[in-house]
Amino acid sequence: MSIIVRDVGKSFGDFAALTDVSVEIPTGSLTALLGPSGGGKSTLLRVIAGLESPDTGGVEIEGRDATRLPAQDRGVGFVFQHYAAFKHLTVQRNVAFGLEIRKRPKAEIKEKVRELLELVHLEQFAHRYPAQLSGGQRQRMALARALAVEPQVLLLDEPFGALDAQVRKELRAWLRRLHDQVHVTTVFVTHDQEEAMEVADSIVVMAQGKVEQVGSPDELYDAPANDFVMSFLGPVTKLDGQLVRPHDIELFTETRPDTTPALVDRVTRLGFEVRVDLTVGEEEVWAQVTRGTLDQLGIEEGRTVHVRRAAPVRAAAV
Amino acid sequence: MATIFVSIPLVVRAVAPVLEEIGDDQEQAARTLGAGPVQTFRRITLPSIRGALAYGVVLAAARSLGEYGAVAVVSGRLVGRTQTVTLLVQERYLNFDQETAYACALLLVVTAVLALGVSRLLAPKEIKR
Repeated sequence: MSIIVRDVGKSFGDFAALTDVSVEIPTGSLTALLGPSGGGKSTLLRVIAGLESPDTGGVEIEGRDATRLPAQDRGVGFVFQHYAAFKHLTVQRNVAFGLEIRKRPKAEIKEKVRELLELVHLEQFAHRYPAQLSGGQRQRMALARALAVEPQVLLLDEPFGALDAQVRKELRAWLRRLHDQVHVTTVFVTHDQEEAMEVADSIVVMAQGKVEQVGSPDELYDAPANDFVMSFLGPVTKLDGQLVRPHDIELFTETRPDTTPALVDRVTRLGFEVRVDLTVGEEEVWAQVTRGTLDQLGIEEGRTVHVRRAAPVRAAAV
Repeated sequence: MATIFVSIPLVVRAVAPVLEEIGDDQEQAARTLGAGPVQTFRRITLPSIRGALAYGVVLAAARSLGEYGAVAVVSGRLVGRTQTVTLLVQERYLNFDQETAYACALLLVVTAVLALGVSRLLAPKEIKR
């Protein structure tokens, strides 16, 4: 295990940001801390980095107790949401900062910086200042800067949160590739479930300062531990008082075992997918079907269809 | 002492908003990269506020030039020891030595204008706007 967090608690005044949080992050993995804003995920990341000290519990990094270690001795790389670029230094000097602090020989620094700038595709911007770069470029620079000191763990706090959608998508794929190249244990914070599912090997879902569930993206999606995790990781709708994924609702034109009659309120075509809003008894339910299914069944507004849950779904928690 | 007391707020006024604007992200980043508190201050904080700091100091210096009241009360006005130029102007004037008084006053005016010019040059962009 690369990072072990044990029973960590942290309060800011009356607000308990973290309550007895325990997480283990395996070496070389790419883990997402996922949860709604104010759920404690950033605080947990900052506790791991040493930027906040926990009130209770401890942190272990690569087998070493790091609870009392100041940030500069932890061997972590940290990437901030708003880049935290050193504005008065060029890209090159930004990346070299950690190495200069460690008083490495000049030639070595130069070589290492060149290598890293190549890795993040910023070779031609080495002599620019951060203000002359776009958001995406700045964030790549921040990543190179964090990687320069060869950290044991790389921590990213909503790294793509301040970027526009297009750049964010590009950088996500790029981060995934980078991790496959560098293999450094990486933890990133996000509130975007799609980002977490796309990039991470494993996801830690957090809410209200507690860990709700830990698992691979598939495990969390298919076997959520509770309603919160289920509704946070993808769309849900309610059928017979239970949470169901809209694509797990089957539609038929005639009755089948276990089906319930439903009235089609509205059909919305979203390209390949079609959203069908239904009324089942008193409940409003929506189903997600493909275009093919829709045409095959001839579903249209005002018709009555018969619905049931496709896959066995766990009973909703009380 | 008295002059420092009345002029230090000018330095603080110039530096504080800049510090507030840059936040502590850069300092935290420096810490995670292995810099200690002193290194962080010298390599990150100081360069970021250098412009504002210099601006504040010049402004404070200009303010100090004209300081009369605070110094007059505290210093005791010992000629040649705790006498500042403003006090000198007053002393000379009261002694009917108008020429010296005017010369010193002119010197003060010129220095003040120079200081103002320098402060315009140094003023951080945020303050000019």
